[in-house]
Amino acid sequence: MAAAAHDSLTRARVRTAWLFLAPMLLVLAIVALWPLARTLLLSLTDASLGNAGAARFVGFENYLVKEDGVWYGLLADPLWWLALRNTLTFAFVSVAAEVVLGTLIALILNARFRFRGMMRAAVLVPWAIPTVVSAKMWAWMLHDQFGIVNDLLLRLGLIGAPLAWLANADLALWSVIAVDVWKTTPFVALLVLAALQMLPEDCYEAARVDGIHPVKVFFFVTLPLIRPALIVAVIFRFLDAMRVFDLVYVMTGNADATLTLSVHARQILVDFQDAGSGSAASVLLFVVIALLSVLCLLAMRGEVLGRRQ
Amino acid sequence: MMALARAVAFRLLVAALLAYLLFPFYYAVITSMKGGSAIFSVDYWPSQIDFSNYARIFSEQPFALNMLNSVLVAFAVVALSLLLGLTAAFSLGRIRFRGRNALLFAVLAVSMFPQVAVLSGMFELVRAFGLYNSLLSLVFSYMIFTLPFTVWVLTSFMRELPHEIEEAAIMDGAGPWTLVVRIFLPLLWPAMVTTGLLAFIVAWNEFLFALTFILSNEQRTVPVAIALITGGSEFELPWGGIMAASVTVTLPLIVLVLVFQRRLVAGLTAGAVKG
Amino acid sequence: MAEVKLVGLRKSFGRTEVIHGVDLRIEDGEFVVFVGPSGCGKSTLLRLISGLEEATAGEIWIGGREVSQVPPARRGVSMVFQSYALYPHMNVYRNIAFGLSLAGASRADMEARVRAVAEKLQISELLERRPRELSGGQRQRVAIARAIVREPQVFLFDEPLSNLDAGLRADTRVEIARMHDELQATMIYVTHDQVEAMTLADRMVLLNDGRVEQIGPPAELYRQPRNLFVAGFLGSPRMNLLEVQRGEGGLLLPGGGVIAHRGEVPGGRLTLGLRSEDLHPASGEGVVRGEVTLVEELGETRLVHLRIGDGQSVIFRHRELPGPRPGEQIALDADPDRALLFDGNGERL
Ligand SMILES: Nc1ncnc2c1ncn2[C@@H]1O[C@H](COP(=O)(O)OP(=O)(O)OP(=O)(O)O)[C@@H](O)[C@H]1O
Ligand SMILES: [Mg+2]
Repeated sequence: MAAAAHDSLTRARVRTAWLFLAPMLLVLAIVALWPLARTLLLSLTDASLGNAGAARFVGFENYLVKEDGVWYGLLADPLWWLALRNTLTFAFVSVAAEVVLGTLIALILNARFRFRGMMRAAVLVPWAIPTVVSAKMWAWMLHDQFGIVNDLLLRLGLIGAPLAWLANADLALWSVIAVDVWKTTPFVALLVLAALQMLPEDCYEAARVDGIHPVKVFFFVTLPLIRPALIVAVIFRFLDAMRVFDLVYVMTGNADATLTLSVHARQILVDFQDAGSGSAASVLLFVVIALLSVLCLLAMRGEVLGRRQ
Repeated sequence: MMALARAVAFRLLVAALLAYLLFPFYYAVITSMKGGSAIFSVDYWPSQIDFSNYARIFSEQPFALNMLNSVLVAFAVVALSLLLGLTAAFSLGRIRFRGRNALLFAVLAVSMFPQVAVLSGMFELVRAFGLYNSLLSLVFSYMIFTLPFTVWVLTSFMRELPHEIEEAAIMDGAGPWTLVVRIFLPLLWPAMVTTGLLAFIVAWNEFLFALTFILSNEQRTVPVAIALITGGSEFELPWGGIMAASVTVTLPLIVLVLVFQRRLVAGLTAGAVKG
Repeated sequence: MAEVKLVGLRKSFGRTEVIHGVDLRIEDGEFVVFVGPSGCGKSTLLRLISGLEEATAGEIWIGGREVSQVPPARRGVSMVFQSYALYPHMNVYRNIAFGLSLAGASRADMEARVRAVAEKLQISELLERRPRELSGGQRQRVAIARAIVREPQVFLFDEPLSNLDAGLRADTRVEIARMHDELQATMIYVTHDQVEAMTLADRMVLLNDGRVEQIGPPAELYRQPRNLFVAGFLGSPRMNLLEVQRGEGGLLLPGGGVIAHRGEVPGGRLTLGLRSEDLHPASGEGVVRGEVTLVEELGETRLVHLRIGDGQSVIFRHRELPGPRPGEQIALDADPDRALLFDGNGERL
């Protein structure tokens, strides 16, 4: 009896594991890794979309290059920096609003009242509506001439004249953020609600018996307890918001005021058919998100360590 | 007195919240039923019941075809991601091997990929496979969204199933494939419904790939079709038609979500809270 | 039917070894029960035989075949799990038939065998039900039926009765004994319940920390434990273990009693083992004297706790009426032939 053969059943099981993983890994490699690698590669060439064969290697020219004393490339393009600023504003503001509003909604949903079931269902509606549809619905409501939002605000006397919510450069980004908040808050609310429902009842009983004001209870009891869930929600949503595309593109197209990194990259890539530069813009977005992910992970680990101590 | 005031205030808050959540869809429904020039007046209540907008999107546009495309793509995506996700979840949730956690983490990392970062590479691939302007390109490319969470959610559910049932089946002579199909699949079907539904919604709603990889009106899926609806002439407002189309594609989704409310919430929070 | 032989069997989980070389030979048709304290490796040993775990070293022979590298289903063994592990989504019929259908049995053959087994275990009326519509006892029968229907050479049971209530447990125990007589199959059974072990076993295997302490018929382990561990583990109440000294005409007990002892007695520490039923009230001086501290009434008999000379306590089983009262002084005699003596290493002399 060879001693080496003593784990053949275990080995067979591990082989099975890889066999059963293989199709998923293969597909994921084809749809994620390969395209990502190609995008990376294309970003170093002057390829045009659909004609990568004739591409020439240009190094980092698409990113940044100095010619005759002048800087060229994406990183020298004010438009890219504008897109970065818009994207960061969008992500920070919308996620902050979603978390505050989502927590509020979750608290309401966690209370006992007659129409709670109906309410929980209603919360899912904005989440279920396709992004493109939400974008269109709100674009219509925000229409400068025939929109109901202007009509309502005029009737209430809050504005003196109709506003061009989506065309006005000062308002457009905020309008888009408002729509994102409407659409995504339910998701945050559901996560927070799930966390709230796992809280032990007895803390509250104790607090109620002690006659502590509910607002105080929220800040000193509830909030610390749901903090981990909130952090997860914030990270998920933030990394998601950094990639925003559909909503912005459908509501305001390629307009500068709302140009985000995704919209910008697609514009170069598809509209200008410039695969080299477009890929470079995509890679930059990828790098920005990767950096933020790492930061988030570090923050989360710090949180976990902090809790242990 | 205080208690009453509080109760009234709470009711008002709930009512306001309900209005905030539901009004846009309600308004889309009203708008979709306005014909002719009624669209130019702002109404808070239904002023007309006129289905001409609905008739028009189906007669003047290939909207029925777009719906069919969306349905085909969504079902194919659900079937494929469940199949791949289930087998992968069996390995990741049930078998110990080195690198298992690293793999799970890598799969999660893919779900953080920005879509545009793979756009040019994917475009090449789609052309290389001869799938440009074909629905298959969408089925294939949507795997990048659906696989990561399908694998995660199914793995976390798979881990919770008792070991002894699997061992009993092994003693009965079940091989891995039999285990997956005849033991785990039936036991996991609630999780499968949840993840399938999430995958369906993702596929039904996707926009960027559908916009980029599909050229002809007849091959388009619904979101792109809606985004590209324009009026018959430059002076005609297309909003009636757009709202009709929006309501048409959203209603089935809302029904689906309301019916499977509990399962969906469980799936959404399982993915996030446990992960 | 087959004999089972384990040779130098070892099992490690990661770096920790939990089975430290077990050698064991189980005869064809024998009923062997594994007992031992929690965590000693009973389940692990059973799972090694079944093939659900793989040994780190050693050989497993079933019916003259070395099976360490044979998949579980082809070892000719069936297992009954503690939690029953019925397939929740299949009805009873399909639960029982599952293994047969995987083995490629024909429909008619399958039907006949399932019905026959169901008949034998009196679950014929339950065949259409799902496991969740069954009581604990019924589930247990289904689990056993599922094990029987495959006609294995060896049955493995891991605490199959521990989820049942006391009455049902006794009934099922009798039934398993009857089943063993009828099938004449080799059975290996793990339990925590000593009554179960004693009544069912042809031979018992007492495990301790991944090693075999003693193998033998229940009465032998009970009456002639090889060492202090075995002596202390088996029997309820535990055997009385008293430190004694070599003295004039026998062994000197704490409190001054003397018990006769035949044969050589070595020097060093000595421990005397007396079972509670081997002590009885003395007419004269007795060998053990002490004050009654507690009386546990069991109905037919009662357990009397004594505090003896050096503060140790001794338990004896009292049969006659009326029983003694706490506070009373009592003297006990012991049967010298039943007394066990252990040396300083805990080995029986
Ligand atoms: N899969 C495993 N990984 C690591 N250690 C294990 C594993 N299974 C069992 N062990 C360890 O092996 C030892 C023996 O476990 P085993 O389950 O065989 O004990 P047991 O005698 O059946 O106990 P019990 O009477 O409580 O069922 C224990 O210390 C246990 O912690
Ligand atoms: Mg055990």
